[in-house]
Amino acid sequence: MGLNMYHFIRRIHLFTGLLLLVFVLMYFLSGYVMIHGKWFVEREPKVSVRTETLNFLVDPSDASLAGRLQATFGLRGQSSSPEHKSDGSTRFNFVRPGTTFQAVITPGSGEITITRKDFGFRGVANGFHRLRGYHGGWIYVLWSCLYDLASVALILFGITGVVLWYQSTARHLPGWACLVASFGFTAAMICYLMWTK
Amino acid sequence: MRKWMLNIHLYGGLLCAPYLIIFGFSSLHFNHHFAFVTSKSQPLNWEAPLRVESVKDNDAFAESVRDSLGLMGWPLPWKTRRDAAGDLEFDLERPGKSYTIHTELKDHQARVEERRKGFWQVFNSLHALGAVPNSKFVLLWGGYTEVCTGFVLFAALSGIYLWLNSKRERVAGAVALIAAVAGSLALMFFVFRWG
Repeated sequence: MGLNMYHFIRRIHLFTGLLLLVFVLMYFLSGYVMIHGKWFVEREPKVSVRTETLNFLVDPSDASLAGRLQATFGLRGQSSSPEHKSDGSTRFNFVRPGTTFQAVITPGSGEITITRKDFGFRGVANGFHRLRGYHGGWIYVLWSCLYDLASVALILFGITGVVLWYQSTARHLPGWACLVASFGFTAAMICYLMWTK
Repeated sequence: MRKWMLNIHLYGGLLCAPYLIIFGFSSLHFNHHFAFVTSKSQPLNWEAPLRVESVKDNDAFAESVRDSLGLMGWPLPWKTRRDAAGDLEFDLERPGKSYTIHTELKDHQARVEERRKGFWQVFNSLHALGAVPNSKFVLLWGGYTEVCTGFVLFAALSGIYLWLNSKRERVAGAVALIAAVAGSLALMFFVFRWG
């Protein structure tokens, strides 16, 4: 591999690291909070319920109805697909880090019941970690795009790091030992989970 | 100091490379739900002798059946039911396999339907896998997760240190870093406050 290719790979490694530093760190830190949830004291979520009158005709489109509910009742967050229940009610969920809204429309009543939950630090970390999907408005689309870039960056760090190690060191034995240990352990874990009883 | 940092950055990276690749791939899958990850395998049916005492609590009973059969995984309470004869049917879930287990207490037998998951599902399930009941080996993966999380933090700081010590790409790197940090923090704050 020529020197130019080495510098090109080094630049990919460097600039993906610099550009996605905050996002990658946020995912690892929030993931750590989720794994060790017991270490972080979490208060019970603050729950508030209110009932409002639906003063507009229900639109047949779920997406536009979700948008109107958000605008009318201040339900901020990323909307997910509404759930149509067997009793005829429709449930809308809106999520942003630390806060969720659930809006339930009961047919015929002309009313909507809105439940808001506010979470503490753990809930915020969880919310940031799980925020994904190309829907819910431009801000969430942008977030999802950065999420994808951070994911691709992790794969690039792994691959370009191995190439850079091989190119930049004269003694390869310690590196090969590290690679055999890490990839060997991963392969053993996959085989164990696939083939053991 | 620089050499010391570089060596840990380099060899720590080699030790954590598979984890980073798994983490990156599984995160992409969570966002895009790749069809090829889901595999459809033929279920395998088998029977095994069962030596357990029936207990009233369904969850505790399911766990004792799992232990008696030498299986690992989590019984799913929402997929557990008991019939009039006191026999239990429950689903057991773990990375790599899922089971539906039906006890036949009268005959001291268990009927098991075993479903295998494919390679990509197992690969994906390694995303922050900490522990699986009845498996000591998987605990090692939990330890590996801890090491890799610590390494990522170190790699971020040491990477900046190594870049600052290098004479190349100082201006372009500084512009990229400042813009990216400011932009990312602003986006996070915006989503948290006004999202």
